Amino acid sequence: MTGSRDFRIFEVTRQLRHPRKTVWKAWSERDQIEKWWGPKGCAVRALRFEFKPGGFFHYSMEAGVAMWGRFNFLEISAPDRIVWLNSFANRDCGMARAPFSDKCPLEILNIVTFSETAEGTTQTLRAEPFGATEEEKQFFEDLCLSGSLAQGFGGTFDQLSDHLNGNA
Amino acid sequence: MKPNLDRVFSALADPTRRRIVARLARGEATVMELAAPFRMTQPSVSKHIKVLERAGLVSRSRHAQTRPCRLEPAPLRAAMEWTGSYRMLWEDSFDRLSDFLDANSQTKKKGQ
Repeated sequence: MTGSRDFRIFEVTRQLRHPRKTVWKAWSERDQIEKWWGPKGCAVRALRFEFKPGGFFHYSMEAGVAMWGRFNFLEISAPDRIVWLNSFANRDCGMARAPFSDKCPLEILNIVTFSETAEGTTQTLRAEPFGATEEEKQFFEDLCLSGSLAQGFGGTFDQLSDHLNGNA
Repeated sequence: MKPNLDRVFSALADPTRRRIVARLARGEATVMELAAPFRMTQPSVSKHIKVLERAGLVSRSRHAQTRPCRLEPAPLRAAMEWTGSYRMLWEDSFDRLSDFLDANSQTKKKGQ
């Protein structure tokens, strides 16, 4: 299903010094994924974890206010590939809009692949908006992925981030 | 009010307005105080302030006659969270995954 897709907009690769089957466990087991996955500063708790095609990983993210998110697994090919739709959620695992904007795509299609290397495992995540309107796609590309905006505002944002952290 | 990110980003697209925002990050200032370092007239600074106000980035006191401007952190925080947030989310998570795997393999070695 990746053939016709254009993932130029988002790709993150990481070299891990661990065998592929160890990395796979960290993704596929509930008590492991909740220990590392999620936004910085948020305590992620798995509320539902069904690691199978069609299953959900529903989680809460606590950082002052409660937010929820979910993975809807589409494809699981051990030990080299997981495909899922990621979105914000309500407390009952229903899909929800992003709390910060109604122009953010509802769902992001993610594909993570694991390949064995001499040193361990190469993990590559690619993502793109799923079922998004042109406006939502543009929002994702412009603000999230190009990086140019973040760089352009970099100096200001650094100062602001100190300011906001002081105010938080 | 929910911050409108389009307005926030178009307000911040202008370098003068970013400098005004950076100045206000250090504390409240009147239009006169803001105009001085930019070598701008007060009406042109006022115009920039209005754009920042409409974006919800700046509010102005109604009490003092000079109506000092202050920075409103909520829309900025939303903008910053969103800028690069999907990448940051995964980069941060991958950092933690890497640490988690390292810690896990240490525990196993000790257990053996």
